[in-house]
Amino acid sequence: MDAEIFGRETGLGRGRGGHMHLFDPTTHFSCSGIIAEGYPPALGQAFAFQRRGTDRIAVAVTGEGAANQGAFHESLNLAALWRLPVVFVVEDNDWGISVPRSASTSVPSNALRGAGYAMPAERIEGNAVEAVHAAASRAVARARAGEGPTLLEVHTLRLWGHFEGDAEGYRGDLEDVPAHDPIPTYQATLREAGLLDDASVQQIAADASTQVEDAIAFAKDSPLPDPAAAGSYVFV
Amino acid sequence: MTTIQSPVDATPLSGHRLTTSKAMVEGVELEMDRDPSVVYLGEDVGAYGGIFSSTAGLLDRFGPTRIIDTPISETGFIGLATGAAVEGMRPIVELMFADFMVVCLDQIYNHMAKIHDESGGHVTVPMVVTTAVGGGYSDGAQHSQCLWGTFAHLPGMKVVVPSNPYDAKGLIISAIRDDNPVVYMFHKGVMGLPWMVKNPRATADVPAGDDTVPIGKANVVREGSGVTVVTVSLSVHRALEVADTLAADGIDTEVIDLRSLVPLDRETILRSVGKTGHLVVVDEDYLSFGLSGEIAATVTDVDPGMLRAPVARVANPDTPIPYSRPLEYAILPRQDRIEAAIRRTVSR
Repeated sequence: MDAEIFGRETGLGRGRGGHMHLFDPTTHFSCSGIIAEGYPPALGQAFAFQRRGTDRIAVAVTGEGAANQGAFHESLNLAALWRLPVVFVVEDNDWGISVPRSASTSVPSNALRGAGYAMPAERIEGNAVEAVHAAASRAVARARAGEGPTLLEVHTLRLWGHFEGDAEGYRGDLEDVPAHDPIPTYQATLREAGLLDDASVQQIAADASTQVEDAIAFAKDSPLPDPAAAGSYVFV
Repeated sequence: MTTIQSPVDATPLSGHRLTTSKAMVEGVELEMDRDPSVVYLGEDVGAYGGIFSSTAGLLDRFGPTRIIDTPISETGFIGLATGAAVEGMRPIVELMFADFMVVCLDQIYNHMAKIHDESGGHVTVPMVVTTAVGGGYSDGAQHSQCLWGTFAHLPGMKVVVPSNPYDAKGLIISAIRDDNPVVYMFHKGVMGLPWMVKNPRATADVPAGDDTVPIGKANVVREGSGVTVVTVSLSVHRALEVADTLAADGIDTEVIDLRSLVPLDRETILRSVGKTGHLVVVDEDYLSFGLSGEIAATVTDVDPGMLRAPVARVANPDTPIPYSRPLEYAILPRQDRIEAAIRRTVSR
């Protein structure tokens, strides 16, 4: 994935896709650069899994801004109609680039929209890691049991700008952000429970750093694609 | 030289006469028998059998788990087909009218057509979009367009346009077996529907087996030495009628049915124009920025000296398709306009 972001021949898409268009058939991962339009293909993956009688399910993730797009609503209807094994996840960070959700969304919670499709829906507040895990587990179990899709809205907050270098001049809540970062918050919870100590925290951080550094080094050391081959994968 | 339903090679037909729509259905049926991963989804494709009879009888044969009526939700179900194809199924998905492409073009063009390339060739999207095109029956500006030039302009999907029963069957089989997304565009006027304008060329002998028609290969449906008419779909039928009329005046017309727009068989066009030195392109789609310009450039890119007269283009003059019959007939590339263009071209 890093190699793809660096536009290298060793990347997931050999440098053709780039950071918004990543596909990994080994994990069935895909993404779309068009808001909400990744939902319909996820339905198709669920459709194929359902027909093969496997316990695989599809998980489709967007931000709350996507919940006002037509593709979002068409997908919820089709998934509920055909009881497809899908979990829809909406990450609500209150902002669609510079527009607050209060200026874009008619409902206080997108979980309310589940009712429009007779679909179970939950909203989980406050970066509550364990509550998110529990809700996701229920949704996955429903999908696997043939009971159809679930809509989860996870309320979080945006830790950084929409893009690297976004000065966020439109945003007034920046001083609250660090206190709500779920990683240190949950780390503190685990420490209190005696499940983490200084040594294990340092180890996890060191492992993560090594993994990222190795990935970036691999990307930087990889060759750029041959310009003469720009059209090599338009057709099979 | 009045029939166009000649097979690609000289194989004798084991002979049953079918309309274009029945030939298309027969091709789908054979592939669904052969490959359980083929399903057909779309609006009114089940009990109704497709509003232009593209799926007639298939629900009874395969049941509702493989012949699937969808909600009126093109973004949803075309995207669903794309995801199913990514997972290795071979869905056929019907867009009721090509005009409706614009409500779901993101799924067609930003997803279906691009995923193979964006994935660096790691993911394939083997699916077919079937869609009805064309006017001539007062359905107005939102239900009469051809738009094949728009599909063909966007890279990443093959585009095939059968004009007769033989090609309808052979091309749908090839399209289903292709590992690329293929857009299969059938003109309502070539399907042989009892409620459309009668068209004797819409019924013909079709082989019983799973003979294919190769994608990317044009068909010279009438040989001639004086002028080349390059066209596609229902306009092939009109061009053949005009060619018969002109033969009486000693104008010997060659008619090329492109059958595929992507990939385009430029070799067959160049060979013919090299012989006749005169080119008329007939296209029911819009004139500007489309198929007719592409065909002209196919020749001039190689050698403008081949042409003994300027290229004539007979197409929709960039007008939304009118409802009222005399207005609609005025903008369609009908026989009178084709004949005038050929006469003008050969006289220069």
